[in-house]
Amino acid sequence: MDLVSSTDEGDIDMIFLTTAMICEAKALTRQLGLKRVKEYRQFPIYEGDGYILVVSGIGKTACAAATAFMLTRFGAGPSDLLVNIGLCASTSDRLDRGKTVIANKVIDHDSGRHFFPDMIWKHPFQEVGLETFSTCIEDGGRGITILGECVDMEASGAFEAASFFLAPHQISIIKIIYDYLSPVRPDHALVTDFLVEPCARILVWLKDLPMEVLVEQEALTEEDIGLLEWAVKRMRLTASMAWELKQLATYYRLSGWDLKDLIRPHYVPSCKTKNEGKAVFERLKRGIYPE
Amino acid sequence: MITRRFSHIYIEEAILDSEVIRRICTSFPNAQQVPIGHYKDVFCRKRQDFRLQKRTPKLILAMKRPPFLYSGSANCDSFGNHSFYYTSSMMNCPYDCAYCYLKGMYPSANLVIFVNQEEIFEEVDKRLAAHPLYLCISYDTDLLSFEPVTGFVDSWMKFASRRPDLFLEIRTKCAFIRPFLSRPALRNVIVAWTLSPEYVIKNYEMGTPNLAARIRSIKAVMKAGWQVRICIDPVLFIDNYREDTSWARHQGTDLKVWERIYQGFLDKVFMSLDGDRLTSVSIGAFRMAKDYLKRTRRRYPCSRILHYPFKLNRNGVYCYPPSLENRILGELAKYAARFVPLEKIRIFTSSIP
Repeated sequence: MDLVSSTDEGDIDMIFLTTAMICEAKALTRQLGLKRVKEYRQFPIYEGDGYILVVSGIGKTACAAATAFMLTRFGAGPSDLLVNIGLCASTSDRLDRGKTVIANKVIDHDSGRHFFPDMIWKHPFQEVGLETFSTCIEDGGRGITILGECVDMEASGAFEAASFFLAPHQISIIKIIYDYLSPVRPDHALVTDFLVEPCARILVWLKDLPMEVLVEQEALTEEDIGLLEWAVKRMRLTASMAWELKQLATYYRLSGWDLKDLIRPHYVPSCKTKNEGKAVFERLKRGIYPE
Repeated sequence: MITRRFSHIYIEEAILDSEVIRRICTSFPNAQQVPIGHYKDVFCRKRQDFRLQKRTPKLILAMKRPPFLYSGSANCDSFGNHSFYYTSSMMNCPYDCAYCYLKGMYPSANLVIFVNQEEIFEEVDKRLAAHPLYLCISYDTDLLSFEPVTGFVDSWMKFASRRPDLFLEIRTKCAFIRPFLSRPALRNVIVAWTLSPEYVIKNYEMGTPNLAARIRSIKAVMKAGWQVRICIDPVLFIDNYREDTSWARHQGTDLKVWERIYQGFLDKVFMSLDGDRLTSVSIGAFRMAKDYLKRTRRRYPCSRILHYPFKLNRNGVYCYPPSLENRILGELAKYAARFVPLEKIRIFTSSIP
């Protein structure tokens, strides 16, 4: 007998992607075959098989707004992931240009807050501390205290916004080293070309993630819950009695028994008053567990 | 595709360069070290998935801030000691016991090690100046299981060896006993082994040493002259729901299966151990504070032993219904009395109606 069921039965695990610029997004949309969803005017959103991508615009506030918009609009759940992908700068030439890094710590420079993704996924990337600034850091960051090994302008916004919807293991921040704190205005076509290979590696990694570990198991099936709701209404139970019934039903179900054997019209008559319902409930309880 | 256990070590920046940190990190040469401001920045994050973290826990190295000592919980046996305290050098446990209250107590399954033992020692000395102390050093964790990494048990015993008014209890399920064999036995230290039937170990105590290994360790430690307490706690109500077609048997009215498992367990334990030489045998049934059970059930929605229809006692603790708890504890004590003098058997009951 199947004792457990998935909470998200029928739902597709979704990987949500955010990038700051269209030229970054193109390296992903082209490889994934994502199509623009025209109904959203606030942010460009692309959709495809198991992926949704939003282009936020530059800066952590824009990124937070776009992330929150996408996760709300598409109903992010416990078996989904959010990945913020884009260019970053390195504070050290030990990290080669074009190297893909994943953040094990995100520092918001303005607030001084630190965010930590749960590093539960094995990955082929180098781990770094990533610091998000509100403005572009130039001149090698002279006169500025930089705590991260890499800097960007979106990660803390993506992480903080996503944290309202997702658990820390569902959020990944992946960046590609583009410059060394002396940025030149990027040529958009060149950026897309520059990102194709790193993004291909990121997508291979995402494709192989064992998303099934994210699926939460539940003791009661949707049918069981429907049956309990029917019984609660029929017996006119209070909220606390309904909770108690659900608890007993869970144990009954985990013991390998079918709730349909217990909760059926013969045992749960339609009650006219709460007192009548209470008496039926007590009788039903004794059927599950005698005092 | 899931990272290995302790793949990451989060270290408070204030202690990053200390000797103890270097020593602990040598046990995890491939771990990624991540500096943090305060251990709560990682340990107390919102929406952490405890169940998933338990599969791949990370290590957090931190400074313990006061209070360093806590009064013993009412849900634990004080063994008649008035100054009953415990201290937490670690939070969380490397083992994964299905019934553990830590699963409902902490927001994270990551392990925290507090490295500033000296400050805890200073606090203990202050208390000892006023009165003797019964101190449990392995609550909210299994300190001995991490001994090869921390060396904390060894430090505690060095400390206790010069303080006769300090009585230490070291509770464990571990089979690692080197700290007890490398020094003469101390009169003021009790090693308390939690034992369970092999059926319970196999099904509900993931990652722990099996019963035979624990018995071997107890035997060696007793032989070396140490005081040993056996804790049969928590006693779980076991039935054979998979095979039995009678629902009535699951309601605690039929103890046949339970008796067979627990009596066989006691036979096995006392075939190897001399009950007369044990300091005591402590027996207690499963119990868990209301909030902890609620959270644990939410985190483990398919755990049958956690979803048993427990009764809430007047202290806000969920336990087996009094009739069942009294029966299983009574039966177990009666059977244990065949091997251990009655006065050495302590029953901790929580089913206050």
